[in-house]
Amino acid sequence: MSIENRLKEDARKYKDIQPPADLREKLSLALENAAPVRPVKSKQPWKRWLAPVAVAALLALTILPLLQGDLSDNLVGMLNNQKPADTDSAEGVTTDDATAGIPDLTLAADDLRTASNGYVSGASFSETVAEVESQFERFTEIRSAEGLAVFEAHAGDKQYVVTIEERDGKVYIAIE
Amino acid sequence: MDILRAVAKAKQGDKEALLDLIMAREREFFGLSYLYMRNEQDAADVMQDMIVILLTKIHTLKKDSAFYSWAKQILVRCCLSRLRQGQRDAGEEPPESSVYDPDSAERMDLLNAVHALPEHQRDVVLLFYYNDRSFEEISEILDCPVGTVKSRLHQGLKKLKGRLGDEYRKQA
Repeated sequence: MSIENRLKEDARKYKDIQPPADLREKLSLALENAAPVRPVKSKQPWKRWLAPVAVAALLALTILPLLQGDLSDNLVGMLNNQKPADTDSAEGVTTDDATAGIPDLTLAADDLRTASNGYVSGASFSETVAEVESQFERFTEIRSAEGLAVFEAHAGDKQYVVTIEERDGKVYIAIE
Repeated sequence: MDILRAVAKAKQGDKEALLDLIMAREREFFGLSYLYMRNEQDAADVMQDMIVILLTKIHTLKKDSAFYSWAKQILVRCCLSRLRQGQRDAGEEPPESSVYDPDSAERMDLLNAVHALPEHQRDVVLLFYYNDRSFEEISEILDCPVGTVKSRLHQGLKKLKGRLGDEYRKQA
């Protein structure tokens, strides 16, 4: 007889094995003695994705402001295929820097101070003078000639000397 | 009995539901336990071990319909654990004799030979021939691929054939 058939025949002997009559009691006793089990609440579906989404949002809020400057610079450069802004050799500042402040009426004196010192585009000599006057609280003329105006300007407790000059049809401003 | 409903209740800590699930197939479970332990007392003790583990781990069961395969997997592990413990203690105390029936020794011959196989081959032979499990069920219970089950069965049978053949030759 093959080993397979012998095993099958042998297995038949064990088919009639009956569990003990008190098996249920034994198992019940084991369960009674087992430590109480706290029912496990199944996780709500929304809880499964809440944590990853919350983490991603927090990371985005933390990292994006840091990257924003670089990203926007890169994007602007890519979109405009920009060359570096023209630098005024005499003043050492870009025309963008200089023009940023003057036509914008909302600039405060300090902003104007930092954004100035350079060539002013898109505004005439008189417009520039009027614009600078409007930006300061007090304004005292020191020197005035054709195409040149030097003022002492006050903003809060700070004092500035503003020079506006027209040369070769271009208006330059210096605030010190 | 609605198995899925009972499993859901058991997952909520309902001990009676868990007990009903096991008792619904008590012969199957006890038979499997007996094949490993080879005496009633140990077989019942192992079932007690199993049901306590089922109670504490049932919340980890992902597929409720797989409850019985999972429970048998735990039962086999409990049996192996007891057998190993018994082997460790064998040096200190003599093993208790079987309390099953008088002709137990005679009918244990082949089963003893199966138990002498390496563990992974023994498990497959016991489940396939003595517990009528399919290859797929054995694969689930032992948590290994079907191909591995077949391979282990083949190796186990080959080894049994060699050993029993030798015994017959000696007797002749």
